[in-house]
Amino acid sequence: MQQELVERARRGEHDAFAELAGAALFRLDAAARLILRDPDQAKDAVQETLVRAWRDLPTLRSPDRFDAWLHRLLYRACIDEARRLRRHRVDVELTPIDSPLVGDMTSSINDRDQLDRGFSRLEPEARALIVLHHYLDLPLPEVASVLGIPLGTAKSRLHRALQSMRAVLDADARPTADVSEGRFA
Amino acid sequence: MTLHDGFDRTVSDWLDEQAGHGMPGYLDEILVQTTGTRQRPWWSSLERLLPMQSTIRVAQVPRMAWLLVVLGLIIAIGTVVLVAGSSRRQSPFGPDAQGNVLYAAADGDIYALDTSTNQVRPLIVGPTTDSDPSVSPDGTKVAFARREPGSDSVATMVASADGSNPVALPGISTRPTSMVWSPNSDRLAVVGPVDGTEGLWVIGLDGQMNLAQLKQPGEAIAIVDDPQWRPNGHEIIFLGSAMDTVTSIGLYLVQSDGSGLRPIGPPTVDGPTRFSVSPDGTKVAYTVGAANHGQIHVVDVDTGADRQVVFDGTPADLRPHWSPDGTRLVFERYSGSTYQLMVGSPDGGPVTAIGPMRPDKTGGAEVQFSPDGASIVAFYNADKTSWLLDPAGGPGTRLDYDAVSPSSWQVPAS
Repeated sequence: MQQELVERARRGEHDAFAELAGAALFRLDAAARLILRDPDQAKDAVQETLVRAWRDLPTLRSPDRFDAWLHRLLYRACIDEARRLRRHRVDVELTPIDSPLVGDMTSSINDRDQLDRGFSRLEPEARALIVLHHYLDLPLPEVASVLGIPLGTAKSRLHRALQSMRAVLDADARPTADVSEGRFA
Repeated sequence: MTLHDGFDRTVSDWLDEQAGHGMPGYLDEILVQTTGTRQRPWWSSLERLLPMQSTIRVAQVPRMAWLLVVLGLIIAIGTVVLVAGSSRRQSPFGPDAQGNVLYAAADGDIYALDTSTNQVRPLIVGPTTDSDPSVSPDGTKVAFARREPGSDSVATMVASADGSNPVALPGISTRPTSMVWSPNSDRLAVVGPVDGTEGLWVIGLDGQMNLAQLKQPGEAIAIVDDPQWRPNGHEIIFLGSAMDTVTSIGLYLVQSDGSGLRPIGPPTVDGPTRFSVSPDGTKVAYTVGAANHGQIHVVDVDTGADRQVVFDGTPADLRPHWSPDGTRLVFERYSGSTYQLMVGSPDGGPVTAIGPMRPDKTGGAEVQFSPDGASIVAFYNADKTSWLLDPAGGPGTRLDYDAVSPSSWQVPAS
């Protein structure tokens, strides 16, 4: 079904592209918000992704690779936005993403704050890696392909990024643990 | 279960939670834009004709594909001849071109706008996506970013001022964060990965490359941004964050051969941030603090003597730029939820408002004085509009083009 839509969109049928864009919009927007930590920048990145997708669709060689291609366009758009953002970082307040109150009830608000802080400290490239693998559920070879890096590099970068997040949690946990020991001993 | 048990799972769950479930409401906006965007022809991507692995599988390419390749090459050569031919027919750039602004349009081409006649002419056109034009100080060359259709990589190109003879700089395959011409137009300072190594690079048009050694005793610089040359052409000033304290930012100076790193004043949490080197290279004007409590300072590059520039009115000023004669600064003044560009003396005192008010968000404006200091071209990041402004005051004129990145004044060839 999707392949047929891609074929039609490649031939210039805008209705088919609208259907593809509508189906992809939520996951593209969510991934961009996670990577960029800014809803407005995320919107810009998604807009750039879909406009470029429409424009360059006739040049896509394998319609069955549409999703992977779209993820690659999104990654590039996010990194371009992040670089632009980095140049203006003093002027941009990184707004925390509104998180719904429902969700994983085993994760405390404190844990979420720690994860948020650890994640925010990562470079956008590292956040993208985590989002592609842990949110979009792309297998690592696919992630490596989207990022244009060797599989081994993708593995080591993901490991380092997660380690970096854990380091924040560890650092925050240390004084808490001391107090806890005192309190509960 | 502790947080670190199944950490990967925890991260996945947290990301799902953060992503939420609400459908974004801007699909129609995008579809309006795509409706007005022309698709690229299928043959404009060589990859459609020649699989990327074909260099090692040539013998397996069927005859039909070869015919398509040959046909594609003939079309490509014809396109190149036509484009090159039309470029040659254009008038050469020179003193008569004073006042032109180069900009990259949404269609992936670069144009020159004569601000006195409002005439636009294509400068660099073709199936590639070209952006970020930057004219060399001597006016003879233009650097820009180029993405081939269907390609992942972005090359940094240098062409003659009329757009002819584009050549790719070696080793660059992603769009640099910054790219700045040296004063004598023979090198570019580039921040980004070159040959896969991130850093501050100086790339000569003769192919020579230097990577700045961003280490000094007890400190290595992790993040580098916004390199600017001193007029002597031997030194580069940039913003850096120390490896161990990435929340502090400082001004640093390094020789163009990559040696001699030294700080200009101590790094602090509040800044310095955006800065501008004075035309004589002796001073740097910079911002401390973020919007609504920003201050502009001027520091002596060699002595480190630092002073706040106190302008009239509420001091919430950011991102200063020197005029070519060093007698004025243009900067952003924030008030409530808006900001506006102002012009004042580097000694402080009264200021003159120029151009439109803009919402206080998404990165302010990119401004550049014209070579004679009589005009300013401003690119407002929030709405991506370009304006021609009079430094003496007034609302300015919105330039009637759809630029996707900041424009660059065309300099008369010297």
